Amino acid sequence: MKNEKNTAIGTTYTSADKQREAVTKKLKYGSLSWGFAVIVVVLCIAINLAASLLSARLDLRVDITDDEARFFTISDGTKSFFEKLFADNPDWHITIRFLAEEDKVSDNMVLEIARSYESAFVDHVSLEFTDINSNRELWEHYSNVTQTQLTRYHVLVEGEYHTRAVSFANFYLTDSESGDTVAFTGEKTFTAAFVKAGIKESPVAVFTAGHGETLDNGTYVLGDYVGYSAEQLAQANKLVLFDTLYDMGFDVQVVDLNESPLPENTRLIIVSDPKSDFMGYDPENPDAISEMQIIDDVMDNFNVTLIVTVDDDTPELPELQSYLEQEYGLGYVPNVSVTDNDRSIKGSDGLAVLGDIPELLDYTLGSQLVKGFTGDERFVFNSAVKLTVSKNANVYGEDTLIATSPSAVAGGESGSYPLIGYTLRGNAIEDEDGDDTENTEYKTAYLISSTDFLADRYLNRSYGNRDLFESILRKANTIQEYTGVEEVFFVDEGLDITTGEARGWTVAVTLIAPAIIFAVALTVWAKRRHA
Amino acid sequence: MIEFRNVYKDYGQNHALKGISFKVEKGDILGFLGPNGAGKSTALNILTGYLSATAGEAFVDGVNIFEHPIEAKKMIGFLPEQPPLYPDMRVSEYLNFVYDLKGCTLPKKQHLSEICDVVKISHVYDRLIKNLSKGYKQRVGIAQALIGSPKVLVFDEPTVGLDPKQIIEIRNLVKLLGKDHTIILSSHILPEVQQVCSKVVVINEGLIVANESIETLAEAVEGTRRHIAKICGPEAEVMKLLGSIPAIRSADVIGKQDANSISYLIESDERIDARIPLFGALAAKGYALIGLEGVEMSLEDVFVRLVSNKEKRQSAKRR
Amino acid sequence: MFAIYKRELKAYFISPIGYLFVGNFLAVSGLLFSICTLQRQESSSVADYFQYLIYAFAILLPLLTMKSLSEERRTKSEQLLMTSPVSVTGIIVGKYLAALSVFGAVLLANSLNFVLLEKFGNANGTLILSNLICLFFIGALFLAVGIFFSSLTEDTLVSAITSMDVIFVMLAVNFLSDISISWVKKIVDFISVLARYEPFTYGILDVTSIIYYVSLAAVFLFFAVRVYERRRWA
Repeated sequence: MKNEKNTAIGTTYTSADKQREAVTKKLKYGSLSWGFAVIVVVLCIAINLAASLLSARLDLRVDITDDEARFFTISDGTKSFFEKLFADNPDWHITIRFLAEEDKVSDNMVLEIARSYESAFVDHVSLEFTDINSNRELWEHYSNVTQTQLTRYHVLVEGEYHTRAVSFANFYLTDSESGDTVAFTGEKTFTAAFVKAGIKESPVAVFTAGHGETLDNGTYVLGDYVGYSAEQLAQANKLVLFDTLYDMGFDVQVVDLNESPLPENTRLIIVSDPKSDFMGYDPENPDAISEMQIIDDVMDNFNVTLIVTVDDDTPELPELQSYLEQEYGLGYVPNVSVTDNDRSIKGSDGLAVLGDIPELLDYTLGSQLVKGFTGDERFVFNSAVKLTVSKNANVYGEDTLIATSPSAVAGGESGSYPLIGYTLRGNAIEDEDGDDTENTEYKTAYLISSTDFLADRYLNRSYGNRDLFESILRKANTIQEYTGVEEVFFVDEGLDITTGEARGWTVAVTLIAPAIIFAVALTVWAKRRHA
Repeated sequence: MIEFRNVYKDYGQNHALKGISFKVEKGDILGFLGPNGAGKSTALNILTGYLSATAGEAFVDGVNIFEHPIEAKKMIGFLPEQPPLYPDMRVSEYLNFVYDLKGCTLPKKQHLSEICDVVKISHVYDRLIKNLSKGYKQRVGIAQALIGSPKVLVFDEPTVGLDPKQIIEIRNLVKLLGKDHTIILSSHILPEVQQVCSKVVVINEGLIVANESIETLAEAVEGTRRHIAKICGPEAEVMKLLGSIPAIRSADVIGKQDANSISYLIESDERIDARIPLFGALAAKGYALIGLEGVEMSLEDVFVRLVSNKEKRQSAKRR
Repeated sequence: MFAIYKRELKAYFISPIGYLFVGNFLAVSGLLFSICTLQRQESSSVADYFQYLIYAFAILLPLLTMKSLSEERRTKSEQLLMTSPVSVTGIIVGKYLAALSVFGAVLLANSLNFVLLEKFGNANGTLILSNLICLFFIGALFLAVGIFFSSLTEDTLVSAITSMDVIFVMLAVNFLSDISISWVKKIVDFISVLARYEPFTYGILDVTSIIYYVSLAAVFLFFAVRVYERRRWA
């Protein structure tokens, strides 16, 4: 009753007016916040989606691992190498295919370095995730393509010409003694796989057969593997030597020169532990195959490397010896062992000689090969034979890569003997007009005084053999002419603490700081209590 | 200085303000009078920006407080019904915080000590707020509102819960502040508004019942004296007797305790004390006066009177 | 806003709550640290420690934010803030930043523990740093969640427990990622706090994750502002 009367005091307001104003005001001051809230949420999702999608292109994943050895950052050397490669082959595309869903990839480090490649070469490298567990057909398909029994612990590198399967284990270095994983080789492994997958024909490393050649001191007779494909060979043999060659980008084949010619793309010829001589040119039978001639012809194409390993069991092999001597100034003295009681592996009676890097001139091949070596590496030469490295006026670039210490003895005389001799021969590349350009092509020969130099037990990380061999291979594979790809070592996470110390420090970190805080709190409380 | 134009406030289906309009001129002390739940606090909360209105407009010194809340808030010092204090802080810490919060630019030390002198809290400056008495807490609340010398001060029920001495002190303080500030003060106590304010807005059930100068209010309230008398005797006889006393303007039965004691509300002219003739008349008839007490006018009564006065005036004008 | 930030920081340390938080945080993280490294006596790897610490955040961080808004709402002191010339956003961000500062400082102080790893072995500084960076942002997100729930209620206990629950759910979502329905999985992965933490565990500072944490924190703070605005307009 009263209220009705009292409305006379205010201006009369119709309810429609009030409603209208209420709506405009609400819009104006955001009380209809549901719409606004939805917009903000949608905006938030959009920002995140955009960030995920552009992650690779914008390089939104920053590698903050150690400055000197970043785990997931592609080195400048690799970058410029691929940039050059991609500039020459703009259509090149490489797919890195993990065999599980993105979040189920069991090795985050491999995934991360793969992402780094993707963002470094956005136009040429992409990541794919295919769950082969849930799709039998895909599993069969990829297993056939790669000739590998695939598991989720493989990653595929699909290039223009080949698909390579790389096991996650190949991304890590293991200390052969302790069995601990000591380093991550992500960049190295992927780069090698890229090169192999993307190049029409991988450089081929040929092991000769037919002259009693063996690997691992007679364990593997190379003649048994003539005609094997690279994949078959890799599966038949789990030699570190093969893995190393594979990692460095080579396809491996065993060839009997009497039966088939050398593959077109031969870049490396290894004569391992020959027991009988090669066939040379026979004036009486000029049509017969001259194995030495075949090798020499391939070498004369340049960009080819020859490695010959011999030891103190190697008999006299006149054709091979004279070829090495005349072409490269390298030779061995059959059955003359090199021993060293002072500098050799313990318990080997001085037979497993340890070699050193001699003083090398800065600009020679040798100094490039051992660049970055500390000098503390132990190069092992078991049952070594005496080598000769002549200073022939007709050849240049011959030198000793590894030598014994002066305490070594050969043929009753002590002195410093070469353990690896090498020769580098260069040839200026001619341009279209037949004039020499500034670029030079090379052929290189190495003579190694011990067949065990490449044996598994010495190709592990305890010795320098592996590093030196990789160095040689890197030079031999001209396509992979870049440096600086190194494995990245993990921080040693060992903790050396006694139970007592652990208990003491646990009490300290758990109680001391909180006790101090409590004391401060009490003080503040006491001070303020009666204020 | 302050203007409300048709301000509505709904809480869901509950209409707290149903279209309020009023103006406060510079220098006024406006009393905002109304019973509990009338919408006083809602209106003041809207004015200070704590709540928003459902519809309508409000201005402080020409600034629309819904459109430019920050500017408007800078001109207002507000003491809510419950002083907004942090009990764990010292008075000094608290006032310094408010000083920073309001972005005050006056010289800090001098300004704060002036305020403390005015509200007489200098001697508790370093004490914890939670250890202060209610009166001092209220003063700290007022001090807080004064920081930055705002043009407008808004006090929501500043004397509730204080003892009589404190009430008087606070009222005097408000009067003092009224010299330099425009003040809105809400209260449900009539005398408080009468004492302190120069203008009054009466609000009931979300509507403005009266918007008058303090004199008009006084006219409505004053001029009548009221008593409740408890008398033993037959109702008709007593009523007749009461009607026969010239000093008594009117009498109503307001309650029966038992068969022979009845309560009567007796109104008389303010200048005449009706109690003596009442006692004489009752004594002569032999009816016992067993209770007699003076009563203040209730706010309801004031509303009725204000409205009826107004109607009387309007009909007088028409004639 | 700065005034509110300052007062809020001060409030933590003139009332017991700040000390309780710091003390408990240091004790819990110290204990987890010891259990995960020192007591095992074999590895200085901090991977487990940080993983557990994130779960501990779910209980510890709401302690810091439970009072932020609900206490003021209960004591009505928020009327001072709301009627002062500061926007609601300013009030909430000020309080949030104060909580974030205390949390950040404690996280930093707590890192003194890693000196022990260096003393008894090798501390992997890079991984510690990348983990700490991520944990800071995860904490920042959880604090925003806490602020939001503190804006919803006057009861500090309700505020604390609801934020704990929601944080637990945000963490537990990760376990749903084994679901085989692919679109559910995609969504789960997208919103999972822990999935986005993974790159930091091996030294990758994933900017997309940081964007995620920061944007989600911003959404929760925005909601808190909305709650206040709605209350004003209700």
